[in-house]
Amino acid sequence: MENKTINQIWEQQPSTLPQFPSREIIKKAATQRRNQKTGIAVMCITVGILILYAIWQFPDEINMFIAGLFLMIASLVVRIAIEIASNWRKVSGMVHLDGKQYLDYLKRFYHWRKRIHFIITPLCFGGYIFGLLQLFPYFKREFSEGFYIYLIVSGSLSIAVIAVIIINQVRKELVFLKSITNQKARVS
Amino acid sequence: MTEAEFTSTYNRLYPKIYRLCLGYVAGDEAMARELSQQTFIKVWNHGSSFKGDSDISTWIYRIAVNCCLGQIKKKRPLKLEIDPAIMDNSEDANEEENPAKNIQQRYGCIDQLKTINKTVILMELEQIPQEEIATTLGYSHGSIRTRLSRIREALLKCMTHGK
Repeated sequence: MENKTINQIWEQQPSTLPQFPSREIIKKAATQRRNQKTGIAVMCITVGILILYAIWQFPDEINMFIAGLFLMIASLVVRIAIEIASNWRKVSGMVHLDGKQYLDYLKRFYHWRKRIHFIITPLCFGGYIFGLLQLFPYFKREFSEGFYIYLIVSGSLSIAVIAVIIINQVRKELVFLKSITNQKARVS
Repeated sequence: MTEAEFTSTYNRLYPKIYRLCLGYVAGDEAMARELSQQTFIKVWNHGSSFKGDSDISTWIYRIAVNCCLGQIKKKRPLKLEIDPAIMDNSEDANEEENPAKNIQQRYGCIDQLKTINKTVILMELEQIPQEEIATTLGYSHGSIRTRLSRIREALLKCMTHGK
């Protein structure tokens, strides 16, 4: 088999026309950008409301319910902020770097993500669970027993689902990091 | 970049970008479509980042290659559609000349290459000039020429002996 044959085989693939017209791509691009801006705006507003609420409420009354709620929201905000920053860093490199530089950049990026996953994420996750646990005595006092049990079950289930999603994502990223740092390819 | 410029570039480069991505993900058509789409979304959203110090196609190939390099989703099993006309013409051919099988085998061999080498050979197969491949990937022209010669040798060996 010769080099010419390699090219001939490749050319046997059918020619592909764009799946969407360009206007559709522009629309999707605008939606993506708008969603990013909305996400950041929602997060900033949440943080603003939390700070205002703290200034208004804390001098008079600090209870475990408010502290727990704060801890839960703060954990989520920190984790979401890290995700937005990660995505921004990854896309920025994608647009500005050549292939060789980007591959090196990806190695550094996923090493950084590994530190996030093993240090910051467990802290956020622990903070979220601890915050949630602070709410349960209040739920028990304020709600019926049936609804209290429902809150315990749904809370535990949602934590389990979040844990599975996080573990899957971490595993995927670690496999990817391994594949780009330690390539033992059979060919070339 | 105006909408008209984007449309013209999109229509001109989409087939090459799609096939480049398709080869990179070993024939996973859904993923290749997603990567191609992401490439052009980034081209439109970051059009102001293009300084004009290279050809626009080089900048777009660079984004496409980087999209491929950075994708971490698992590839789905290969399900390749071959032009029926080609299949009809190959009815009498023996198994080794079957286009679908050959291309699947090709994807398999390319998938065994190192990440950067995969992009080098895929760009070469799309007949992108070597100078442009070098600029896109950040290597010298000479280095790309040497790599290509080694990759082609390895590919031929893989396709002939299956490894």
